[in-house]
Amino acid sequence: MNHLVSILACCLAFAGTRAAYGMDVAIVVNKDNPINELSIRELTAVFELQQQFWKGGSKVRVIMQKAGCRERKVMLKNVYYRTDESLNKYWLIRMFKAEIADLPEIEASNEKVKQVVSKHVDAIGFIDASKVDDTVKVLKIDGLLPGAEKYRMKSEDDQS
Amino acid sequence: MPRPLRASFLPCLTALFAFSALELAAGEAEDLQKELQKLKEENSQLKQRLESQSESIKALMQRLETLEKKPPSAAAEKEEEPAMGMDKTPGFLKIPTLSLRWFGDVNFRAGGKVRNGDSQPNTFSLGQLGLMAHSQLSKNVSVMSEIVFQYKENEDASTTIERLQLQYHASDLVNLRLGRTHTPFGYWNETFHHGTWFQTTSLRPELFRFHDGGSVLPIHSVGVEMYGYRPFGWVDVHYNLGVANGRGKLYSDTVDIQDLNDNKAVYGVLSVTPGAVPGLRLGINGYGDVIPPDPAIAARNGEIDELITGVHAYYLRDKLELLSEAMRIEHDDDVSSRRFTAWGMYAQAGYQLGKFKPYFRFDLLDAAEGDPFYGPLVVDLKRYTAGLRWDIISWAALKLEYHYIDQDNLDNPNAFYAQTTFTF
Repeated sequence: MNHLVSILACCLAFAGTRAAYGMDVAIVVNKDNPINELSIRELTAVFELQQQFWKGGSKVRVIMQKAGCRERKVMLKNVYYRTDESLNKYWLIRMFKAEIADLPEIEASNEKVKQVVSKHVDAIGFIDASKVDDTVKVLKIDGLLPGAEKYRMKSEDDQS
Repeated sequence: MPRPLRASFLPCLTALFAFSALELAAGEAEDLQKELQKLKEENSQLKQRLESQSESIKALMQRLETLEKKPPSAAAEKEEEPAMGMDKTPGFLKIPTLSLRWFGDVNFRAGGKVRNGDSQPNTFSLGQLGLMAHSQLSKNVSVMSEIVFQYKENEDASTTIERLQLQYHASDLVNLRLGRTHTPFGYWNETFHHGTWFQTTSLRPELFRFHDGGSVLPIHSVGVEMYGYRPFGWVDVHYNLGVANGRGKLYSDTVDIQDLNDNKAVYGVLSVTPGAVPGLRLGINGYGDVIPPDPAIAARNGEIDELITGVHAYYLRDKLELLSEAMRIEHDDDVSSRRFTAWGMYAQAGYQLGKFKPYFRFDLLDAAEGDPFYGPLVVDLKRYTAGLRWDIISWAALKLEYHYIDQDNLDNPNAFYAQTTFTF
């Protein structure tokens, strides 16, 4: 009986989280990173590695997710304004203009992104907003947190 | 039943029942005892486990408190993995990793080329084979090189170090670049190098031909450059400032080893991206140099002051590519005491439709008549290019182009170009 109640409670909690965040993608940083919000323009500058240093002087460490995942598609549409192919070309151009030292890291899952971001003060990544926990800090984007009606990083299903 | 029998039967029955009940009770009591013992043992085990877990939690809490007391940088340093780009093999010596990439193209041209006054036959040709290498030596220092193998017009093979540069990234605002670079004029020359896979079109704009193709601009420079970027609320500002060896005696020379005069070329670029229009960049540039004399040619027996100024604008967003640049080149010639002014521009538009990208470009070059510095390859021309790029796979593309070329000494203004370009 106790087990049944526990399972029911978990299901309700999950359903509630999904209802709150929809399919939003959260931008996460290390909890010791002093930054709390970015504009969408600043977010693009960081993830495009136009801005390569945090205000404190340390180098930004961008963590991407692998091609094909929903979260990455949301980022391609709303932050990079590119397809996967044109983004690959963009990175090569930047590297062989010697403007960037290395390509962003790629992790296989939301959990892996959280692990890396929680261990490195300079890291910034993106995850499914429903997967956010107290190991990372969520940034406001244009003053909004995931779940807000006008939050930019929604999947296409949500935006219809 | 007789009365005496009844009198003795009842006590016996009662005794029997009592005895049975006692037996039963004794059995149940024994079972209960066993159950109780079992529960006691389980309870004892649970107590032990609880004590053990309490101690573990206590130890973890102490560890957490210790970590929370440490400053964040110290914690990060302890957790720090090898820097990006560094070989993660454990060991005493961490060797920087190297990225290598080849770029090549194979072409077909029909029409559109004149050499020594003669139209050239249709031909297949090998383009440049470029090897780009990049390595991050430390968190803030990187190197890159670009070596090009090619066949010249006279079928001689050549190998050239086209770029060799060391970068130091101090901050977003201050970066240093040292070595042989593509002179930053605006957009095209700094973005597109010797790998045609990067660029939409098969040919570079006429303004940015490479030296051996008759370039009016100093495409390469050997020197030191500072560049950076600073965002403001409503605009992002980008800049480049550089000092280099400058021009050689011939317009096709890049001075790699020994400058021919004490005058150094000085150049700068300033561009902005308005916050209201992401993807748009507008900018201006300037380049000043003193071209050394070439005593072998009478008309070149004196120095030439060179001033290059230009503007650029481009918009890159989603599937749309809009590029345009214009340059003005002024030569003040000591020998003739005349000023020669050449200018050129291009405007290009392309739109990505899946794997296909139709595009159009207009090129204009207005060479200064009688300029003693430029050779016969620098002529007036207008070129209209209409093409289609097909990215067959991620790393290889086919470009098909029609050119209309308005140029003296060209029998037929129509030309057809096909290029397969790839990287591996």
